[in-house]
Amino acid sequence: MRKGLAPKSASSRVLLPALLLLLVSAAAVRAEFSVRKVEVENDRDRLLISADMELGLTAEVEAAVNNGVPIVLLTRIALVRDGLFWNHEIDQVTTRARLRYHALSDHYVVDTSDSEGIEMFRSVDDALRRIGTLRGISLAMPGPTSKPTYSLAVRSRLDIDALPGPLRPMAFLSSDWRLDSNWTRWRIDP
Amino acid sequence: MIRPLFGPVSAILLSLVLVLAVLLLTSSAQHAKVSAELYSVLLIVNILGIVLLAALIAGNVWRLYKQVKTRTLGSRLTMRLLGVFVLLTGIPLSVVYYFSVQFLNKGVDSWFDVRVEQAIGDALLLGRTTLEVLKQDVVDDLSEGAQNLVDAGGSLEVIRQLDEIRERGEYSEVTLFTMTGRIVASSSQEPQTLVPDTPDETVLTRLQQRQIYANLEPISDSAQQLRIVIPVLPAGVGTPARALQALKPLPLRYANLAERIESATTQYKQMVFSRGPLKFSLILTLTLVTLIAMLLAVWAAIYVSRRLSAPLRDLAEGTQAVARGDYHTELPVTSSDELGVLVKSFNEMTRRINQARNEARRSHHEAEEQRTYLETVLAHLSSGVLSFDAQGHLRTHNTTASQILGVKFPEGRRRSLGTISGDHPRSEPFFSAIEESMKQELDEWQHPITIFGARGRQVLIVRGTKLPGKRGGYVVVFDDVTDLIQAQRDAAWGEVARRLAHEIKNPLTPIQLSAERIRRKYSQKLSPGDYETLDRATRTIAQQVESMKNMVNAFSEYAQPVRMRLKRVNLNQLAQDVVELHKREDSPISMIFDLDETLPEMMADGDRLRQVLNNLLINARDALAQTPHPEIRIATRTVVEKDAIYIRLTVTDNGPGVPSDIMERLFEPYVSTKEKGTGLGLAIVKRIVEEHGGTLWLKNREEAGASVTIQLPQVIRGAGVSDAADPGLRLRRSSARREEKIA
Repeated sequence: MRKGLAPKSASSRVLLPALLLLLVSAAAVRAEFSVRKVEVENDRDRLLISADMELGLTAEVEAAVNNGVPIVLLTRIALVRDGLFWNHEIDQVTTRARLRYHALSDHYVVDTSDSEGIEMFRSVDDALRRIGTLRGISLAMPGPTSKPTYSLAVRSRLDIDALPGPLRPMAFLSSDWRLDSNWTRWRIDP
Repeated sequence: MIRPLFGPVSAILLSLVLVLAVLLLTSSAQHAKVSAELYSVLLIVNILGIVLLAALIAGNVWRLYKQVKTRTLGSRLTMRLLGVFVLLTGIPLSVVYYFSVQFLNKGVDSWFDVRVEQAIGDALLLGRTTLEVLKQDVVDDLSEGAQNLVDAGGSLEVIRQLDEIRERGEYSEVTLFTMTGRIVASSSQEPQTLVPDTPDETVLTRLQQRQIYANLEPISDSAQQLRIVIPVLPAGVGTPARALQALKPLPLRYANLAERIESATTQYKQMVFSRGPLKFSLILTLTLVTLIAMLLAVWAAIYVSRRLSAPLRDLAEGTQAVARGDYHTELPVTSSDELGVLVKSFNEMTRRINQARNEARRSHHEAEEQRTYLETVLAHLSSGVLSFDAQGHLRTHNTTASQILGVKFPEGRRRSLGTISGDHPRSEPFFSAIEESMKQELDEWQHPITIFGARGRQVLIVRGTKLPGKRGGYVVVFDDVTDLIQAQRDAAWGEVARRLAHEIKNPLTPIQLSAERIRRKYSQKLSPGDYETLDRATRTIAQQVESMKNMVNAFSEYAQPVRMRLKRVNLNQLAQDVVELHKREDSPISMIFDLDETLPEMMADGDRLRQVLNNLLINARDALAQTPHPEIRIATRTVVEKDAIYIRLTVTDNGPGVPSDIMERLFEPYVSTKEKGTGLGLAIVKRIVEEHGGTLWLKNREEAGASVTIQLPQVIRGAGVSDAADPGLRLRRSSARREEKIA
């Protein structure tokens, strides 16, 4: 079985506790990151997820990359059981992609956690497209129960903690560095 | 009280939290692996702390400002101290902050140098050029090999050619594939490699456009390889085009250099890029630290200012309390420094003042008791007591003095004798006598003084004594001896009456009887001529004895104390009744009434007053015997003085008047201008008037005749109130005391 899913709500129920950080600058978040498409496939007792993300860097972040600052993009895919007040996470996978500029070869180097070795791209867009394309992410299949409903939640964001020290305070405070797709959820019928 | 909004413990806790937060923030911004969330939390904690501190300081300063406005004690000193502390901390902190920011900006900028940047750029360019040369060598080598491949016939030949190319060029792998990426043949340095490395879509696209792909690829963080892909064009038509790819690891020497150039370039560019954010981060941290330090210093300044000014404020409050008369103020001794000594001294001072005040109070209380004792004694004296200072101002008086004189002495302020005398004209002779004696500065004096008080004529015995001491003055003690004199007079007259009755009246009867007996015994024996003489003589004796008896009776009647029967009397009515008795049709005397219609009733013995009026009318009538147009005028008047009401009766005739030689003595017994009469008429009048507490005077009129005026108090002295509801008898009293004496 293979089915394409459309996002239920881009900013519906947030899985993780609301962060104090969001209180400060949630309004200033730019929707540079978004989840475009997610495909789910049954593979015996597991779910195989394919996801396509639209990842766009702000001029500030792109300038940083071009100046040799490596950035890390985290994509978290989680299977959650919907609760009345609280959603319970059943399984999750976080992929980590490191993007940096190789000055000598004038190429962008992508180092992802889901593939061996490194990949090189002539443009930053190619590199981001590669990072935004996730294939074969395996999650545990939920048991056959009648009552609960399940959702697949996907979120992609720039990891500010991975930035070099001097850049971090600015990144904490500046909305240019707040690259986050927020949680996008799809309902799943097991 | 001035109290900080926050206690010192909470202040220290808040300070510690803020210092910890700012330390964590500083370290997290630079080195420590702190998550964005924690960094934000730290930042928010710091900002909240700053806002809280600022709000607390603002609240404290606002309170202080209001206290200064309302002139709360100690607030101005606290404000001044606070100002000094803020200046002392604010100025150095501001200077340090300014120079730190300057130094920081310049310090960060100094890390970067145009020459270094140029050198790094040049190194990168050199590296790239070298790589280009290397790539070109490989491209040339591969192009030559590709030519041989085009000429090669079979597959074995192709593989042999690939091996040759690989070995000649020292490549790790040489692969021939179609333009779609399908592998045709491959030669690898490592035979165990099953699937050769194929180029990606981008490379294939370039090949299809007959372009050469040559690039340096990192195979790991430290190793790099050259990937060269060239199109192999067929010699003839119908043969498909191919692509030849060679992978060559960068020689170690080149690899190390390239790695170093890459690393240095990346780091340097990263540093240049991070310059702004780094400055921002450092200045942000510095600003937060400075702000917190500044606010904590201000807060500490407020706290210290209050602590320093507290003992002074307490002292000021204490002195104000002392000024108000509260000597129980005990200030807390909080320190052992000079301020502590000051506070201790203050406490000692207030304690001593309190002791002294208590002593003074006790003395005053004793003096007050003494004074009350004396006042009580004075108040219960039957004598009136007045004391005057050297200037003749009344100092003290007792209630008896007020009662005797009928004067209400003003309390509180000292008044001179003249003023008091002016206010109470009836007592004027009394005060004049005192004033006169004081002027003469006699050490001791005594005068009998008669005044006509509210309750009639009073005789006072006044004794004055000069007071010893610097202040001087006089004490005047006086007694009302009116009753005593009256009693003495009554007793004297009673004695006279008794003597007359005993010594004169008693022998008269034997004389009369003896005369009768002589006349009876010798009437038969004597000749008619002698008998006639005897009879005339004995009759004369009997008549004279009878006359003498009458005279003695009349005198007894005058002298004997009479019991007064007081009742309400309307003098107008009484006068009209008496005059009615004296009216005769043949009498030429005109009786004229001039009565006061508003005359109030009075308390008096009506019979006695009728006798008074009767005597006066008889005297007037006798005086008018020779007057051509005789007339008697009877007038009544109400005389209202300050605190008493008097009834005045005047009987006026138009006769010859009273000879001036007897004018003074006319009211004494047996003084008369008439040939007939007992000579007691006016004396009885005087006595009755005096018994009523009244006075009387006689004067000759300028035109003709004389007038006798009787002035009686509406209420007799010593009489109790018999009818308080009667407005006409406001001062009615019964003369119980007087009646007892008379009885």
